[in-house]
Amino acid sequence: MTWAMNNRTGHWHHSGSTLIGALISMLILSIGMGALFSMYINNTQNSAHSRHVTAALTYARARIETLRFDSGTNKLPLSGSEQLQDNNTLFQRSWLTRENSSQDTRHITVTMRWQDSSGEHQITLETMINTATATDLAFLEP
Amino acid sequence: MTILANTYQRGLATLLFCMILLSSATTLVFTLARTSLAEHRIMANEYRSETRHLACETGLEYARAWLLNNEPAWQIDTDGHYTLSVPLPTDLLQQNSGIRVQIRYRRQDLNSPFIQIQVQASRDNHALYNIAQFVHYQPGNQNNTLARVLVVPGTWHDLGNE
Repeated sequence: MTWAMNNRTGHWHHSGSTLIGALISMLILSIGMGALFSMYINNTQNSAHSRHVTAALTYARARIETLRFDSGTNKLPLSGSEQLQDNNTLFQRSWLTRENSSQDTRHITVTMRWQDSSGEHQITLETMINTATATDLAFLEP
Repeated sequence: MTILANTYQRGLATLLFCMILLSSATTLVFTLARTSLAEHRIMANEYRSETRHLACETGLEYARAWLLNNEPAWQIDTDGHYTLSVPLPTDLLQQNSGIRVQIRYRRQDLNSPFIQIQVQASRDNHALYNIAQFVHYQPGNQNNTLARVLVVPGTWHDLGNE
């Protein structure tokens, strides 16, 4: 940067300051944009994770409900695993039931596993059902 | 003077352009972050609510199964209601570690067939969720040993975290 006096006005000015100013601005802008981009990526990942957990909860809940109402007919195996495609994400749904014949109860655990850009994730839901539902139904009959 | 003015204005324009661009991008990303945070909170609430709700449902199902398979020994409490003291199995909930389930059985009098089952899910002695359900109970007898427990439709209550 060089400083020179304007002959007509007598003011000092520096030539090349516009270029350096622009470069500094570009530097600040690029640092700021970099930080913002990183934040944007983070937000996108968090948003995708939330969406995946919500979808996984829905699938897990659906399996629990199926097992609850299937307790009389036993169409579904007591334990199993299957893959589900939701948009671009592949979910692994596994369920395990444990009978307690002395109390007429069945313990159900459903685990959802999936993988996304931030790694592997899983959620587990568990509940218990009363397998003596048929007794209730019989009671309804006149 | 004209040359000087133009020189300064070019720098100012660049600076202003960069600042406007940066502040617009910042606003955009922060708005996105707020949306993302709200989404995350909704998801976390849903997950917590689901696990608590299922814990309570577990208690309700266990209570019904217990009434079917056991001879209840009713005790009168200070309010004049009949209650039951039933120990819960330790493996009632395996995965939801930290969530504790408590079941209360209440009956107006011994002649009434209706039993209110109240289930509370709690963590660290802090109530998370409460539900209640009335069941119609018919005890087994010597001729027909099977007891019958029927859920009374429309009596399921979500008591929240009272």
